[in-house]
Amino acid sequence: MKNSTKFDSDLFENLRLELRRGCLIVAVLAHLRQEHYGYTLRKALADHGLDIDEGTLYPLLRRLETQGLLASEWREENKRNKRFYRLSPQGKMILAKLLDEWQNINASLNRILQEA
Amino acid sequence: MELLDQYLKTIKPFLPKGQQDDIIRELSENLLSQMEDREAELGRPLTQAEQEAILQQHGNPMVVAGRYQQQKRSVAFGRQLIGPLLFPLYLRILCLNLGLTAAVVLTIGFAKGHGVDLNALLLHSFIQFAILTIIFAVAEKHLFKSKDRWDPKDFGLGRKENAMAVVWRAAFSTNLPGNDESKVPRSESIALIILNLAFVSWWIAIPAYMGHALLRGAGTILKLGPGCEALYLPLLFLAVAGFVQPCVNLFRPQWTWLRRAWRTASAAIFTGILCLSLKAGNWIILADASDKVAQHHRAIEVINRWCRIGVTLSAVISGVIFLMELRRLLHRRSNPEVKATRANGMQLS
Repeated sequence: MKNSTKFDSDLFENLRLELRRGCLIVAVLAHLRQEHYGYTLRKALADHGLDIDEGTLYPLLRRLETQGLLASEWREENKRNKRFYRLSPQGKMILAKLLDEWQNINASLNRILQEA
Repeated sequence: MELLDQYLKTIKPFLPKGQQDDIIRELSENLLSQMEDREAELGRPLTQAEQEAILQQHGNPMVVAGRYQQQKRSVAFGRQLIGPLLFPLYLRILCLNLGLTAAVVLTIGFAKGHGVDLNALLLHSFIQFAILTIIFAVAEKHLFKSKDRWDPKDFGLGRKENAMAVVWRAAFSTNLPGNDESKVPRSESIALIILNLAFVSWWIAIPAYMGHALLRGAGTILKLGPGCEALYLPLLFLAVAGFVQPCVNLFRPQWTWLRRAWRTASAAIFTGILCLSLKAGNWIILADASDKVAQHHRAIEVINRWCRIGVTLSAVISGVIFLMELRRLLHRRSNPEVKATRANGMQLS
């Protein structure tokens, strides 16, 4: 019984992480329509109910930048140099497509749930 | 912010080359912002413990660094032994070790006038490869198991360490939060008694068919030599003595010091027995001393060479285990929290 509960909770956790992974990328891209550095972006996401740990967010920002979806620059703020990220022109285009896709998936899911 | 500097220094060697400084600079800024926010909330500078809590929440340095790795190369044998995080460091140290080994073996070969001794080169390279792979595989396994249970003190933050020392610490750390060291599980004691019983029964039965069952069809030509005989009785005594600790801990599970002390003592004794066996010499000898068949002599030589390698490796590993156990034993004795737990355990009993 205990093992089965643990299995269910592990399974749910894996599926939840899988579901979140794609959504987090869309959320990060959407937030970076305005400029942020790593820490303030994490706080802004948390304020909107999307907690993401630093160990996931900061490498993700670098990966999105390598893929050309983000642009970054080091700039001074409050007497300290910080790396600011924002959406690149290519990122804007991809974000628009991703949001369309997300709306379609959401609408389809709603229809399926209503029928059930 | 010395603690933060040490944390970042621990992460750095595990980051992809060429991006290390940039990533460290960015991580430093983000962590400093987080600490400043916290200080503003509290209206005072952070204490050491509060800084440690922020770093602990940020994550195990090796795991944090691993998320920046873009290369996913690993060592696998059926399943993954060394993952993408440790692989670059493993490869670097392996290349360094093999290079040094080649240089030393070739220098000795030329100095003795033998030229290139290919056998010695392959043998020493294989030993280096095996030892390093085992260390990194253990580190990988331990790191995976304890990635969310790390302690800044355990990673040497607050003192300078190189990357290899961090891997070593990850593999053989003794200070993981959440480890219940207050009792020896009864299931462990029962399992040890059963295993020991099986081993002793098998070991006692060996002399009855020594030279036949062990050497199969070759029993008429070969027999066990002084190296094996030096192992027999000492190992039997060690195995019989091995019943004491699990039997006592079965009824007194709170006596964890006994398990630690026995592990240390048995590792030391086992290393000593292997050294005696190495000193005694050949493990397999010819049944008939006057045997003149050259192939038999050649076979004996090859078998004994591999036995020597096996026993030497076992002695080295056992010696390392002894040192680790001794360190843990001393660590426990000097740790006031452990002393208090032990004292409570004694009182409860």
